[in-house]
Amino acid sequence: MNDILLELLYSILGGFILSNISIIIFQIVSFHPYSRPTIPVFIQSLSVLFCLAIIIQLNDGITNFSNSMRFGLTEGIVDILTILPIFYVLMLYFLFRASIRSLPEDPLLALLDSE
Amino acid sequence: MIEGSMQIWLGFFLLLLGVSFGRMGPSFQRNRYYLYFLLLGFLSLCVQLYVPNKQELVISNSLENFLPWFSTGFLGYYLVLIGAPTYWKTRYPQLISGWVVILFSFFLYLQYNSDLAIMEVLIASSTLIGILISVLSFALLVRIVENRIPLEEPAPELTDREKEFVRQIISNNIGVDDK
Repeated sequence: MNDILLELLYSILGGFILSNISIIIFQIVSFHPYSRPTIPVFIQSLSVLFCLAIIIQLNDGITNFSNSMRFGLTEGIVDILTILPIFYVLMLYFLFRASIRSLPEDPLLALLDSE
Repeated sequence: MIEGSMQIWLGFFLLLLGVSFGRMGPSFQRNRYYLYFLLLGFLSLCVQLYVPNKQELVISNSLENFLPWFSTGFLGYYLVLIGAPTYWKTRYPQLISGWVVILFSFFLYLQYNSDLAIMEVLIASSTLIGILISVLSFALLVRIVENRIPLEEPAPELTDREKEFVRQIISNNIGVDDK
């Protein structure tokens, strides 16, 4: 398979694995009497295993599930760290708007000023 | 080498546990120790005592390139939010220094990530597809599970004793005499 396509696929699988593992841990850790995490956790675990198997099939250097998990999580974490600057710049727009906007006239605040 | 790798994964899972503990249940039932988990996880990820394996070294290097500009930018955001006229008058020292710190974070980003190619960023952004699929499928699963729960029968009417009990509680709370 084309190297770039392979990288893209690893990136998508990495994001999927990282996100699913995070949600699974969240559901288990934040268990309470009204939550019903059994079916979602079971299906998410199966889908993660399926992705790990795909990585083992595609990557010759990876032969077992633990290495595949490490590889997938690493891909997900590194990719998120790489694209965070884009969101950082997007947030700057809102920060700039917050910096330049003027407060509406408030008689209570004016009263505080006069004191 | 294995110790370094274990330390990174320990830090990662402690961070996840901390975030999960911090978001569990209603606000008054959140786990008290989430902050300690977060701090421990953060320290475990950032303070490397051993050299990790090749796989985890990638994470370690990414963090080394990420933390300087991100922590600076975070400080800048904080200062700007303090100085911005959101709830009070503009505080110019904080606002201006915040923007200066944010500009400095850009400089740090370019310093630490000068070798980053556009193609790498484009490929990395495809991870959002994976995250989106995961979150949507989770929402779908939760919806299916919730829809399978049968509706409960309507609650029976309160008995006279229960009515009296409720009346007493309300009377006590609003300070009205029983009579």
